[in-house]
Amino acid sequence: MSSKFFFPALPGQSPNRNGYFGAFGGKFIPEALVAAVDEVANAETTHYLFGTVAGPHPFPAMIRDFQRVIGVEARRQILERTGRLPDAAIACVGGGSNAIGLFHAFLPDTDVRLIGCEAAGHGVETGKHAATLSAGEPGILHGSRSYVLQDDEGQITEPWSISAGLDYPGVGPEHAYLHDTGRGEYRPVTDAAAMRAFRLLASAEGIIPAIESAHALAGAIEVGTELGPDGLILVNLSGRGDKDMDTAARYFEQDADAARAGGVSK
Amino acid sequence: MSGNLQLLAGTLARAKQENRAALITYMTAGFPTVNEGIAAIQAMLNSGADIVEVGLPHSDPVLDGPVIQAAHDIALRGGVRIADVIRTVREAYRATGKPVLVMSYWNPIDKYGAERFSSELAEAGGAGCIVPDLPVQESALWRESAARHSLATIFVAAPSTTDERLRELTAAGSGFIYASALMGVTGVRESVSTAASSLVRRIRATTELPVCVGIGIAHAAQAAQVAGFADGVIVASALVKAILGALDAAAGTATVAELTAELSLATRRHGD
Repeated sequence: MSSKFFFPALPGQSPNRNGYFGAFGGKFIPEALVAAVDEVANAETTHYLFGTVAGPHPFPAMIRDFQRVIGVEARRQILERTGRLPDAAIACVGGGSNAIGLFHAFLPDTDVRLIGCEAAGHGVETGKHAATLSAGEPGILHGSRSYVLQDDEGQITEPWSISAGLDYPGVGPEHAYLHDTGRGEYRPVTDAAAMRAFRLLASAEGIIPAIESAHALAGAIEVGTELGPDGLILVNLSGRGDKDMDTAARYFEQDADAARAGGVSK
Repeated sequence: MSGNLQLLAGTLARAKQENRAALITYMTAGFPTVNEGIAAIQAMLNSGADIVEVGLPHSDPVLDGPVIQAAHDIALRGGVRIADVIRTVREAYRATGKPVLVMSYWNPIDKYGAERFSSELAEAGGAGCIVPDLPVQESALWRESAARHSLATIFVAAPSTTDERLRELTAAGSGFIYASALMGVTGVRESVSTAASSLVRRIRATTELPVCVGIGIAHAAQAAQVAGFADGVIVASALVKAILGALDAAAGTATVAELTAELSLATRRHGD
């Protein structure tokens, strides 16, 4: 089978994936989406697959099944290492693929809290966020009914997050179900909280997390405070942050400027 | 006032009696402005279009290619609301007495309320709705409202639609069946794929409803070809593109009228 790769050159993401994908014949092009859509114009030979657990059936189930390995392995490893299941499994949620991948293996373990951290951007109350489950409502987007961010006439609104991977105005329908049944807990995490967690992991462990994953870390700090020292938390560090260095540098520079100018440091 | 489903059915039946295909044209409401959009739609109906589809602009038009996406974007940036779409339907119907359909993605109608939308569309003289992303098995609520207000529910069938699914679509649909000429998004193509005629044949095996073919039909030769096997020819992107590329609204409307007249002639070549 032959494949063609189209990678959008996202602002804020350094193109260091170029070499990696270049090895597979991929190229970063500004008009990736348009080029990909042109390709899909021939749907007899081409399928458009989401990278996340959204879209019409069977795509959310397919992507979940591709991602679920992380949950299966994490569950086995935490049992081996600690002899018990975690109190909470925590992951960031944009469309929700890494989260569903982690959560799926723990669905029958009802004592394990499944906690999804959504991007609250500048704060849910500002309207500049991507916290679809925390602040959205049911609607139809990209072929499935789930929670969406929309206006009063059903137009999907622009989401915001410092993390390019989380600013999606919808969420996978399986997360909507877990939210509605109460099996999953979804909480908003602001840009500022995520960036504090980003800095903390980098300085404490020498690991630079993706800004997406830093949302899960910020959630873990909150949940850890709630659980106390005996708590056991499993966090999905779903990506590395070297792609985010430009965004992080810019963020911390502005943060320092604001602090110097007498503003409240984030 | 009840909707104009019967007017739609009668228009398609009359075209058939005249041994030609009906010409169905599309324009996004509120594009480039609400009033200019109305002028373009009236120009199409006065230049030989039998039926018109009024697009309800949406933030995420997943069936549409770049041309119609651009029109939706311009309309939404201009602040177009559902009330403007309903007004567009009303003015197009009032000025021409011809069937006016709305083409909309499901989310705006769902959010607005299916009953409220159907009632306002019927009151404005609308004839029905095409909702390409509403799956037939999820459509019962909408269809009840539409039927109560004498509005057609037009389903889209694709070359990949199975025979079983086609039977469900044609059993649930009214007015006509919209057959997609190809697997892909709206937009101008150079030729009509052979998939269209075989899809029309498969649909006809399941229903007496008229079958109209759209997506990818841009010029007179293609319209004439499709008129040879379908009850209606649907043209959208080519007309929207004429307005996008025009120097001003008046020039755009004139080009749209000219193109509509050519397409209308082409649908009559059938049987020559």
